[in-house]
Formats: sequence, structure tokens, C-alpha cells
Amino acid sequence: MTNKYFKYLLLAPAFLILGTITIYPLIRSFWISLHEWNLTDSLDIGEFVGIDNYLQAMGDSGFWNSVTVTLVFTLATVFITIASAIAVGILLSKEKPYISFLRAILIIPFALSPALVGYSWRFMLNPDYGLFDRIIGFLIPPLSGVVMLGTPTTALAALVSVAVWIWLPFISLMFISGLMGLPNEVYEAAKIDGASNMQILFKITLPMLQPIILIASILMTMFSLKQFDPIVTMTSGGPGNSTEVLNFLIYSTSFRYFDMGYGAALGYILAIMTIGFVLIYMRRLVKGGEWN
Amino acid sequence: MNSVTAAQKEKQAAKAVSTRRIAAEVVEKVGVLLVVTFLFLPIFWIALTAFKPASEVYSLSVFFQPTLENFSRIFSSAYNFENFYFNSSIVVFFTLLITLPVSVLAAYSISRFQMRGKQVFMFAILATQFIPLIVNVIPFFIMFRNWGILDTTLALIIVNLGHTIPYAIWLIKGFIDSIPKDIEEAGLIDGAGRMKVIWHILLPMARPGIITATVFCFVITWNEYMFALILTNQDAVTLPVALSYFVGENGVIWNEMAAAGMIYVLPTVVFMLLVRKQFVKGMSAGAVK
Repeated sequence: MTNKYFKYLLLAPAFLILGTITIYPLIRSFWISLHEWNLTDSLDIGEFVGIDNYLQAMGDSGFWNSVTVTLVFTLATVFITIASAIAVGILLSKEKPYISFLRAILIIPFALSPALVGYSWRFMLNPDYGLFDRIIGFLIPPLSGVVMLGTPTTALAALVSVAVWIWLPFISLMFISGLMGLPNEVYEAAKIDGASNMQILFKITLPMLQPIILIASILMTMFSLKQFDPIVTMTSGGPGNSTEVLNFLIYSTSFRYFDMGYGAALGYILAIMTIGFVLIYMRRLVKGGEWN
Repeated sequence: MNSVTAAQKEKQAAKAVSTRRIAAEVVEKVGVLLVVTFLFLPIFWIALTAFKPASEVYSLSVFFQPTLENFSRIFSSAYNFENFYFNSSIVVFFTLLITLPVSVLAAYSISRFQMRGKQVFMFAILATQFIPLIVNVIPFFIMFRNWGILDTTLALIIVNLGHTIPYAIWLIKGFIDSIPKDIEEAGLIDGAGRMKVIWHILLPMARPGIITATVFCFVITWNEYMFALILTNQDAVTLPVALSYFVGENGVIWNEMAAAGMIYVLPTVVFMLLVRKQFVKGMSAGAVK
């Protein structure tokens, strides 16, 4: 057998599976988004309505609420995770026995089921017997009487804290491997020249970490825009619809109200938002010449 | 006189340096303590709750008579947790069984041969992961309902493959790229077929990459919640969805859910710890490339 066909033969199974399992449903989903189709009315696809479903979203206050919630949630999660991960990275990239032990177990939260984490947060934020609730009340007295998952702001903050908790270890490990790979001589030279710790951080460490910061931001943005599991298990979008991110709105539109056409259209809007974000980062990546 | 002040100055400077060092040390210790508390207190608390008798769940006490009753309860006829464990295992096993060979062959082909549209293909499979998976679930739900395979593990295996194969190809390709071609070529000159070379030479060398991909796919499939929530309701329910069974009419039975949670996360935590180093290396290398 010649290489000419062999290489395609090796690729064929992956190509076929991904074609039928991801590409085909994507196209099918777009087709559904152009139709009126409520599964409770009919088991067959309804009337072709063009871009009506997309136009409906533009005038839907629930949709705009979800867009706002999604953007606030995503920006807060990405920013807090990256900033804390850099701090954790600097703290845990030193060569000390207890720190290398911490590095070893740091990955554990990443391996836990996000659905379970959502339930756990609900347990610990319970106003009557929750451990977190007690700790927050102790540290920030004005919040001691507040039901954390009962007010829009605190519920959204709780959601951000779950997302940060899930992703912080993994992103920190990316920074740790980056920091431990940085040449030591640069730091020694800077110290001999009398640079302060702050100067070292802003003039040396952060610029050298820039490629990792960009990649971590792309990953985090993708993950945050898709966040679903802990939202279902912790707040179910509530109170009201204050934590109803787009992904959750799509889920409830399609599988609680069975409005498949509108749900698919919302799905495509979220996909376009995600791709928009990724393109912005990609351009920075290419411009910065970090793409290797 | 002069020499005395100089000595004093030096002493003061040394003192300032040492106080600064101590301050830095304190900041570091406090920082590490905060990180540990934030990341591990929740896990510790859930683990503790799993061993609490029902009467102690609603208190913050750390001292109590530990019990294994919660664990025996979740495997009793009240929940039959072993059924969901079985479902999850079936889904993970078959997803990996299909994902790995398919991805290894594809990654090898992409890494070793010149092909038109190769970059486009690699970017396309990455792009499919940018798109929210819920977009794919809508047509799947309808197709599966028409085929009568809603609420089966088969349905879950099919949708999971679209998720695991792209990641596995990216991860494994990164590792194969770093293996020198010469060794394979030597094998080919000796007259071994391509498949033999892949099996006997490449696979052992790419093992770290394959293990990383296996663990990563294992974790995402084991923890997969959205597909299971939408596509199953009784027979094929997997572990994350089964957790909702501890939410009763009178609130959540936290001690039992905690016990179930501990049993649920055990395999992923153990596997992740075993391959931690390679995993991080593989993930960041894959991301940079």
C-alpha cells in the first residue's frame, strides 16, 4: 500500500466520526434555527420562518438579561482566575518541599465533577448551617444576614467563585510550569541591579508570562461562556433569572419549554459570541508574534 | 568615629534586609495558607460530611462519631447507586475504546504526512470545541428520539465522542510531533510495514501522550453532565445526574450526597494524581501549539 492512500486511510475514521457527530448536527441545528418548531405542538419540524427566531431574540428582554449575565460572569471569572492564578503561580513555583507537595495535589479540584461542586457550594452557602456562610458572615459582617443564593448580586458572585475554584488549579499549573521555565539569571541580574520586587513583577515576570496569559485567557473565556453544570446544580438560574447565563437559557428554552427553533437560534448566537471572543484573542496572539 | 557609623549603618541595613526577608516570608506563608484554605476546605468539608451521622449534618462540629452508614445507604435499595456507577463506567469505557485508536491513527497521520488542508482540519476540530455543545444536543435529542435510543448509554457514548476525539487528537499529535522520525524510518527500511511500525515503535514512545489523553478524556466523560441531563431520564442515568436523587421534598440529604460524591470523584482524582506531571505538560504544550 502506498503512502498516498495510507495517510488518508488513517485519518478516515476520525474524519467520519467527527463529520457525523459534530459537523452534521451543527448544520442541522442551524436549519432548525430557521424554523418555527415547538416539540409540544408537533413532532415534525414546523414552518420555515427565516431569521425570525433571531429577530425574536433581539426583542426578548430575557435574552438580553442572559447576555448581560453571561458577559459579567465571563469577564469577572476570566479576570479573577487569571489574576489569582498568577499570584498562586508565583507563590507555588518555589523549590521547597512543602510547596512541591502542594503542587502535586493542586490538580485535585480540577478532577472533581462540576455538578458536584455546584451542590457542595449550595450546601456550604446555606444560611442556617453552611460553613462558607458562617465564614463570610464573620469576615464581612454586613453580609452576615444575607442569604447568599437569595439575592441577585451575591448569587452571581457565588457562581463566579465556583468557576474560579474549578479553574484556578489548572490555570495556576500552566503559570507554574511557565514560571519554573523562566531563566533564573534574569532575576539574579535584576536583584543585583537593585530592582524592587514590584519592579521585578511588572517589568520582568509579567511580560515574560504574556504568551501564557493570552492562552489562559482564551481557554478561560471559552470555558466561562460554556459554563453550565454548577449553574444547574447551584442556582438553576435563580433567584429570578439573575444567574441565567445564555447556555442555561438555551437549555431551558429547548428542554423545559421544548421550543427547539428558538433554542437553536439562541445556541447559534452564543456560538457567534464565542467565536467573536476567540478571534479578538487570536488577533492579539498573531500580532504579538507569540504564535509558534 | 567614621568607621563606627559605617559599621552601624551596615548593621542597620542588614537589619532592614532581614526584616524585609521576614516580611516576605510571612506574606508567602499567609498566601499559601489562603490558597490551601480556598481550594481544599470545601473538599475537606464534603469529605467530613460524608462520615457524619444525620444528626450532625446541620451543625458545624468537627468532632463527632464517624459512621459508614451513609455509604451503605447509597448502595442500598433506596438509591441503588451501583447502577449509576455501572452506567457511567460503560459510557466511559466505550467512549475511550473508540476515541483512543481513532485519535492515535489520525494524530499520526497529521503529524507525519504532508496533506492538503491539514491545517484547516486541525483548526476545524478545534473550532468545533469553541461552539457550545448545547447547539449539538438539540438535533441529537430529536434524532435519538426518532431512532428510539433516548435514555440509553449508546446515545451518551455517541455524543461524548464528538467531545473527546478532538481533544485526544490535539494532545496526542503534540507528543508524536516531538518523537524523531528517524527511528520509524529505520524500522521501515528493515522491511516492517507501516502498521507494524506504529504498533511496535511509535506506540511505546508516544505512551506518555496517550496516557495524558486517556486521563483527560476519562475525566471529561466521567464528569459530563449536560448530555446526561438532557438525554437520559431513568435507565441510562449516570453519576452526576444521579446526585439530584439526594434532593428530596424536604431538602437535600447532604450526608448521603456527600458520601455519594466521594465515591463518585474517587477514580478521577486517583487517575489525575497518577499522571499529573505529564498531564500539565501535555495540556500546556497542546495549548501553545
